[in-house]
Amino acid sequence: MHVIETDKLTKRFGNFTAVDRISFRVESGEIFGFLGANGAGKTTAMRMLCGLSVPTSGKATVAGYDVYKKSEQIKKHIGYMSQKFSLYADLKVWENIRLFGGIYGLSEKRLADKTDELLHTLNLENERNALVGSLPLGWKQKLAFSVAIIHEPAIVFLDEPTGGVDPVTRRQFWELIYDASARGITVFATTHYMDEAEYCNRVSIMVDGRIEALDKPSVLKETYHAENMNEVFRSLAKKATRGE
Amino acid sequence: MNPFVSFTRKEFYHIFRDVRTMAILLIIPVILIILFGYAISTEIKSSPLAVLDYSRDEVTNRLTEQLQAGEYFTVYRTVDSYEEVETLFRQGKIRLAVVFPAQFSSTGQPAVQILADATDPNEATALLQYATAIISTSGVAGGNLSAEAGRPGVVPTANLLYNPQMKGAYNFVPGVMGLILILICSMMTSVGIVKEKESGTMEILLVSPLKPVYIILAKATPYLLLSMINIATILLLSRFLLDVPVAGSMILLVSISILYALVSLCLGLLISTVADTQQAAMLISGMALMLPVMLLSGMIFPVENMPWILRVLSAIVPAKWYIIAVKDVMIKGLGIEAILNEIGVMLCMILFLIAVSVKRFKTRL
Amino acid sequence: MKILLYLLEKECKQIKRDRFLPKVIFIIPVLQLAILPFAANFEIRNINISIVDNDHSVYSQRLTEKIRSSGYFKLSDISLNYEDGLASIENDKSDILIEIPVNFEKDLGKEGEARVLIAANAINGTKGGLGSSYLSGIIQDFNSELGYGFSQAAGGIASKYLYNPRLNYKNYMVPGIMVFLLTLIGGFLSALNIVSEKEKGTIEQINVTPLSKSLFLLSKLIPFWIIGFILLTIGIFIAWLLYGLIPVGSFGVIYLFAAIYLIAFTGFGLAISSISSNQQQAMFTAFFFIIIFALMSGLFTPISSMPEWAQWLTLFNPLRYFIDVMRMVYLKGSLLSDLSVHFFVICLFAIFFNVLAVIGYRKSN
Repeated sequence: MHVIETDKLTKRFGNFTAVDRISFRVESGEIFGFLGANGAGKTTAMRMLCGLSVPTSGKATVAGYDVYKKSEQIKKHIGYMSQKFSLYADLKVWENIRLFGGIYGLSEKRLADKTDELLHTLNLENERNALVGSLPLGWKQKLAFSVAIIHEPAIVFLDEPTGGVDPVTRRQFWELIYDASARGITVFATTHYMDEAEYCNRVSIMVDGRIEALDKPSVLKETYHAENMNEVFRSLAKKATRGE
Repeated sequence: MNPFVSFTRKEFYHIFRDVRTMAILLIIPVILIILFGYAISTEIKSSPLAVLDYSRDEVTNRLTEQLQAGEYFTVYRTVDSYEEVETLFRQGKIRLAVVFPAQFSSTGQPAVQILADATDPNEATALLQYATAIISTSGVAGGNLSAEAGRPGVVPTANLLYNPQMKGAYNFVPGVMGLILILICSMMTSVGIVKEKESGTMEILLVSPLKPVYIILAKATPYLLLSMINIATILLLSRFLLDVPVAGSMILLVSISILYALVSLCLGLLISTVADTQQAAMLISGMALMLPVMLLSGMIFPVENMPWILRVLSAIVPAKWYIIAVKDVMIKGLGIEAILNEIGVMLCMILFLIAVSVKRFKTRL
Repeated sequence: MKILLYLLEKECKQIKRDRFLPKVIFIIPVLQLAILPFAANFEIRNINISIVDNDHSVYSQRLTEKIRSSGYFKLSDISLNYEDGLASIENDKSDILIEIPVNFEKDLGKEGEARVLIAANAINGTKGGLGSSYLSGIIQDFNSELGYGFSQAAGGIASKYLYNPRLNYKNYMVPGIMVFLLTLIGGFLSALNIVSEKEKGTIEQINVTPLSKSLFLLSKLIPFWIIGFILLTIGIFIAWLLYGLIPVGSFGVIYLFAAIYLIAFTGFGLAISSISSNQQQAMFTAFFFIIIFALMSGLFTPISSMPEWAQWLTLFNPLRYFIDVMRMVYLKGSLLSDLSVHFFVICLFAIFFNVLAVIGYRKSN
């Protein structure tokens, strides 16, 4: 079954077409890399799938629900981590976990267990009572990811999850992603880092609002006669006419 | 291009792109002038009145008619009991009640009773005076009048200087100018700077080769321009809508406005060095600047009646000095020699504010 | 409903942790209630008067003495002629002058009529107007002492001030200022709340959850509602402490109205917050409406003095109704049954603004 399915999905802002008739499918349990240069339309596309933005035209379903009519249903089955850190900086670590767990309807008992488990996995036991705003960026990102999947959603959307983080933390972050994937959560992530693209089961590459390529990293490398994903990306991104 | 110019241009884009805020800033002076000019006054107009008439004869009917005839009262209802009067007062339906006792016309005793709702003391005082005047000059009075009663006695002729129509425009136009300049120069500037602090872009600017003083200047320029547009709007409205022309020198008026705008900018700057969040900046400028300007500058309420502490306090409100200067130049048509004092005070304020904010600005970085 | 508890927990902690908010919530009402009633005072005392006495007779001196001892006027100087008096007004030494003509006493005795001239500096319309009306009142007294006009001997006119017998202007202002406070704090804080989550980006994380709009808004509304109640209680306490003011009517009525009014006005703030894209915009939008609401509410100047179109506009002003209610309950002891129209209208506002907030808040764009 396909957890995400789009057909000519489009978003226009005035005369500007941010996302131009993209069609693709994401399999259940997959780690799907959503690549593209700055301004290629990745975030806009993702926001449409999350129900944060209403498409201009085209079709899409997420977890079997239509993005136009059932966006509130979709929200029950997805997690989302935005590009800009968006947990509450003025709440403590455990308070953020509690809040979002509460919103997703976890029981008090389950919430307590989940909090302990999560703090343990993230190695944040000592920071339980720290204000989130005071944590280093890498820790914040890991916390944000864990909060995004606190309700064990079918799909988690990650927008530049590792932007600005050091390589070690990035590595740890991907371990969290693999864990989630192993539990059956489909991962849909945008990224800048081409080495990260190699970790994905499949990747798509967006240029100027369109998907120019979509396949397994190994296949893409073959098609474009490239050593690594970086070269693939560069040969595609050359076509871009849009500036930043 | 000159970095200063390009930076100023960026600030212009920032401000003018937010159409709604711009629109509000341009409309506020117009609305204020219209409200103060046409809607708000303390003049007493027709107030509802109840008549409780135990006599019900020709004399009391005539008095009732006379009360109704003047511009100050409309007879809301003729009632039958004190209880009814009280209910009407409690429901806020009437402001005044006139009670004619039985046999009033034949004996003139006991007295006509006028009851005033003194919730608003000024209105009550005035209404009571009007009612008394209407009844006492009506030429109708029962009973044994003294021989002199028909003669009016001392008749005052009142003459209102400077402002014969008593429109109040002479008072509020300078006040509105003082308010708008504070609003734009202090509030916008402080919030604008704190916004950059909050989002972290201020640091980027501070490490740029542009000197901090230019950054501040570039930020202030659009607001200064905007406030001058508003001053122009206000002066045009007051000239053509309210018929309040500028009696003195236009150049002098504009100069003191710029001077006052600078004071306001410095205040905004100072606030931005104190506040960490936009909310804080807004609350400080709102509570510490706007309200005092509205209250202590003599715009709505006369400063002379305030207790001495407040009068002393009002001296540190820049708007007070500006408004005095504007009144002198704009309405009395006086020259610069009359407002040297005010100019001096504002200059001192600028120096003081700059000194303090520069010190704070440096220590924070 | 359990979700609401989690959300409320979050809001309360955020407010508690804010460096600024708790202070503001407590300091501002105390300060404002301590200062505003003194500043917002139309009680006019100590009007500087210049008396030009050209008659130097027994009567003219008696009138002079009567003016001096009235308590309203302070003799600034005895001018020799009208021009001197005028100069004294021009220099702001005097606010008003009265000229008693030559032959004042003679005319009064012979003709039963004598004229005096009053000239008031009307730049401040209120002061000029009230000053000359006080003066007229004194002259009327003077007349009836001498037996002119509507004589005391005939029983005359007995007047009585109800509800505020000492004509204390503060009693009138304090209940109104409490409403203004609730409006300021409730309106501004709620207006900035949601939009600040937009600026920080935290609202994204909320919007992507299945949380319903009304529940989210409710979690914003309830804390401000409670803060409003605390504020009101502090206000009532300070009114008693500083001004000895205790409502004649019931606390129940006051709190009932406050409960609905707060829902209405917080809804107003949230509606603005929902449709604004940044804090600056929200702030100026809120400011725009609040300043109009305040000026058109009858808080500072009576609604009955406004022209008809403006009076009609005040019908759409939630502030007007609650200020009315507070003054009526505080001073007149009005009952709920007297205020049924007010109650109904404030309920309508509460529904209207909150529906607007829910519609205005979009989880997606």
